[in-house]
Amino acid sequence: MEINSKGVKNMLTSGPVVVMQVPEQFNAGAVQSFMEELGPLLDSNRPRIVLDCSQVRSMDSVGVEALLQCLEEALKRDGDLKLASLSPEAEVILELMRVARVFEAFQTSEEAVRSFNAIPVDAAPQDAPWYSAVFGDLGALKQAS
Amino acid sequence: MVVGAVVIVGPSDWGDASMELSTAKLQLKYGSLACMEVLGRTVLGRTIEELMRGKVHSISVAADFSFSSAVVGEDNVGFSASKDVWRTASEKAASFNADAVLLIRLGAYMEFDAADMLQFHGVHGKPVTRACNDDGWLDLWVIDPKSVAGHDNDLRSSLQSTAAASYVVSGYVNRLESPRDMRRLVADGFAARCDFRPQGSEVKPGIWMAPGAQVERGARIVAPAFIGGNSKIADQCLITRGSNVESNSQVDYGTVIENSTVLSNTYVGIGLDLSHSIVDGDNLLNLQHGVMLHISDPVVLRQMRDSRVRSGIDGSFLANLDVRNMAMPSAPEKGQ
Repeated sequence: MEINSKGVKNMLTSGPVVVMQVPEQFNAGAVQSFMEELGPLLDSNRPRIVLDCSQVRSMDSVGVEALLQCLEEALKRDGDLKLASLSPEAEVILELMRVARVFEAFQTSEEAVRSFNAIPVDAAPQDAPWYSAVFGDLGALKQAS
Repeated sequence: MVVGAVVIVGPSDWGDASMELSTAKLQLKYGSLACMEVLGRTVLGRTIEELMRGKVHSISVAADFSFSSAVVGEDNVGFSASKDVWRTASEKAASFNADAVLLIRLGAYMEFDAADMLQFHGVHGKPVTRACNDDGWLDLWVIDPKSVAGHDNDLRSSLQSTAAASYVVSGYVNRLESPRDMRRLVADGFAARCDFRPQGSEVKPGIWMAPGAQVERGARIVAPAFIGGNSKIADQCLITRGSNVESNSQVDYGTVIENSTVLSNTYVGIGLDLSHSIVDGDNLLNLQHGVMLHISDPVVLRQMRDSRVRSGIDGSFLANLDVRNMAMPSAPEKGQ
């Protein structure tokens, strides 16, 4: 399903997971507009983002820094950012800059989206803390004790 | 027996252009690969040195790119730059007044016994002798200069139309048809599988350093490895798994170079992980992924110094040829 909510282009959603295409030339010039598009999503609660890197042909240190920044923001808000369909160029650059292992990467966007759904976080309300999916309602537990 | 040699650095023009795309992108094609410094010396420089040792009286290099005036002015070896290298080679071969002329197109790195090949040529009495090995023909001939004159100075036609005796080269041959071959040549040089040995001092077993190479105390070099002249390896770097850093290059703080070649005049930035690659300035060829990248970020990779020096055509080639110290048994070729 393709949407253009929040001004984000090239974006697909699969449930609460957002899939976004990384531009072909992901360098200093392209990072600003990319971040402007992705920023509102990162500000949301528990952002779950998949970046499709299949089109990436070049990426500079600013681009890599932007990816790391996005990952950091997503993790801060109890979400995650995963990479999918890494082009050989993207793979080489991420390896060169020693950040390949920082990201969880998948062969396809679908696999990356499914990986989010592997943990039944959808069962928990979106505004509940992350541990509620695992431990349930701690308040009820406390009352019972 | 007076023997001359013409070394052609340029295309063969008869259909062996099926080179990897990445090769073309890296501009390692044909002659330029032979002019790139590998383990401290170019294939062209090593070939000329070998010919000089083999008592070849006159040597001329015909290339499809221009040399600097300093190189052209060398006394012992004649250099000619022209688009039609084969015609130039033909003219040079005819001008030698030699009994036999060795003709080599680089290309391939070949270790052969010139004296043995010349003797074979003399015994078989054919106007052309062409070398081959198990993988097929090599671009190495011995020609009778008179046969060249009979073909209107068209050396290519002459070589193609004349029935040639085939001489089998039993020595080491690397056809250098792709960057992968270059890495193989480096590995073979380190392992002493050929005479393509690193130029410099073996400071520890399997670690060679050329004059002027600087390695910071906190850097680690794991054998086999080669650090070229005036190169700098910064603190906390690791150079390992048969890597070679050629002359005037710099590897900055904390970077790991693994199973890779850093060609001359290249800067490799801070905290990088370079593996299974060949780097030439801001171009990176990853052999594992088969990807050629142009890195526009000078913090990561960049060309150092004058671009004329980088290809090895001028500076590194001249520096490593060392023709002045090599005695020539007869009068050098004049009028280049």
